[in-house]
Amino acid sequence: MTRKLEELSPKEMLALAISIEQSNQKALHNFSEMFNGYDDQVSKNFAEMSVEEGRHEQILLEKFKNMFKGPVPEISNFDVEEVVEAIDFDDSEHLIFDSLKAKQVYQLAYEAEKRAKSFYEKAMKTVKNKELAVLFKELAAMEGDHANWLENKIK
Amino acid sequence: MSEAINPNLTPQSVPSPVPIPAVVRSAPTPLTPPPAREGWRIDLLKMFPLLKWVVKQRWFQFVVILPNLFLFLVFLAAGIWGTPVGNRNILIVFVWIFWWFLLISAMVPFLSRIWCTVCPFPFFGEWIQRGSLTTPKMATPGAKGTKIGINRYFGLNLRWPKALSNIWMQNIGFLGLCTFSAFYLTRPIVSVIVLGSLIVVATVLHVIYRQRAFCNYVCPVSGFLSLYAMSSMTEVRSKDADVCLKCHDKSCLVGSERGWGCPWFNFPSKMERNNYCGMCMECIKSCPHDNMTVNLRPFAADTKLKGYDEAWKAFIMLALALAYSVIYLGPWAFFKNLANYTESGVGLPAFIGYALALWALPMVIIPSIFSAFHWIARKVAGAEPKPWKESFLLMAYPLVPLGLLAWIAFSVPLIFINGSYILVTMSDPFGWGWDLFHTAHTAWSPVVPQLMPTIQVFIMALGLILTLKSTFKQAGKVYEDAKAKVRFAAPMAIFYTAIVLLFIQLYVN
Repeated sequence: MTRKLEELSPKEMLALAISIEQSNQKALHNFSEMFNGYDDQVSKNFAEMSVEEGRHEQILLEKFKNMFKGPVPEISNFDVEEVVEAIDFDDSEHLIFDSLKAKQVYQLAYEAEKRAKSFYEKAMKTVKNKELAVLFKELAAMEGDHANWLENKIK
Repeated sequence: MSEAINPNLTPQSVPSPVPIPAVVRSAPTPLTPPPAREGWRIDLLKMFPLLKWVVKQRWFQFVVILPNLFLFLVFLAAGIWGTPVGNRNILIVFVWIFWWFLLISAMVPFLSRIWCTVCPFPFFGEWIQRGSLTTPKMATPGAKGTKIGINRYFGLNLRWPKALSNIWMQNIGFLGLCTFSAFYLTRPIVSVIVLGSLIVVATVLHVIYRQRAFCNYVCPVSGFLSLYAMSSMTEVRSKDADVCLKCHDKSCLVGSERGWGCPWFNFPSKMERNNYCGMCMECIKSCPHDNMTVNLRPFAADTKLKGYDEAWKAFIMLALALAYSVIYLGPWAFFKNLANYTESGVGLPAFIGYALALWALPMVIIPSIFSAFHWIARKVAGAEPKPWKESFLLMAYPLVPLGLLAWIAFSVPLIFINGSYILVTMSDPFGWGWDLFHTAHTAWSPVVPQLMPTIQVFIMALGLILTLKSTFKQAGKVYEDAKAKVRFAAPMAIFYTAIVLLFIQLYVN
């Protein structure tokens, strides 16, 4: 049974954010593998993004340690209704036509970060739990930083 | 050649990125779930659990290819050792009459690229490449082979050249084959050379290049299947786009222990059209969320041509349907003689002239006329048009359902008029005097030949309705303004109507 994001406790919310970074890290690594030996620059960029998501995960884990005691609750993006942040291809035929450009990889990640930012901002305004609202605000700011980092890569 | 697989690439081991040169920022790419699909969908695997169980079995594709491969080898043997008389040899009758009719009139319109599921051409190559007939092999550290995604493969596994990553080779190959059609349609040994060569080329390319490069870029049959599969009433798709977005395994792309990564280089979870889905069902097996399925859908639900190569494939197929109707169904011996010049004795120069005309029709003449109508349409629309290429491709799409219907109209008489040969060759495949099913002496008896023109006209009229409907719908994607849309669609509708009338004129007379 999936839950709505606002039904999560702040602890669960942060655990979800960690899980999402892990999930994106794995997806990006898989994309990198597919382009390995196909388009090396695209592969490298996906791998770089994967490392970056790993860095985000570490930051959030630190945050979790500072805020809560005990292990990180097991919660994944499949446990909630919303899609918070997901990095994916924009065309299923990129590998067929060799049409994915290296800078598009950054663009895909940039769009995902931007979407995540606006998602947390929206959630921040609607959630009633004040502690959760603060966490959403911090997550939105963090996603904003990620988006800016990517924007600089694209420019 | 194989190489030892490196242990899984860890994020930490990734080399630092090469600096990206400063570029002008492109328009953001929206990364949202695919747009809601047009029209209804029926989940066939939900409706038929037995079918779901079957396609999820590892042995599924092997079991359906095996009998087909056996039959194919029997046909080749018949071509080599059987009678050279075309209509008494099972190779000619079953492949060029029975198979062709089934393919174009039943498989493609209703079951998409189901032929690719059972096709024997890539069998040996894929076997060598995978080193396995059924079970997917994982790229475990130290294992031999090349790692692609999660799976490992044998062979060179080179990437297909970027310059050839399109269907132009298939376009040229199919046109080339059709130029010499009279030779292999009537001579079993020539058919053996053509079909046998395809198996050899497929095997060699599988050893050199990654996965189904042969099927995606070279196979001449695959070319038109990819185009007309857009019209098909079946599709392999994800059930819930959100599940795919949340999935980090991406097993449909990279493979898993349950299934190979998409052999067609597709990313099944994001698939929005049938063109490059060979219906191997690997994604249905590999998906860890049971989120891939087979849907029934309306006819002609995929409407996006992505490049000029695909548009030209549509021109080629339409032109060949027209040319074949003249050559093989028409009363003009002159054209038949040109196509079959070695028997008719018209001489090589006449054949070269025929070949040039056959190539000019789809490569230059029809596209030029289409372009002229398209240019007029943009002028009379009177509003700011979309870029030429975009509107060209949008308006070329109606050629897909039209071409498919034209081929069905061409193929119906083949089976109705020559169907009795199927019974004959079934009992006597080699023409050696056998009578396996007591049908070897069936007399040639055309079925309702007097109704053929009526059936053909009906099919083409249906084609016209679908084409006109599609023309106006596509025009709406070029112009939002209702008046501009109608003005833009009108010249294109005239073009398509003229083509249909030409076919009808041909069949009626």
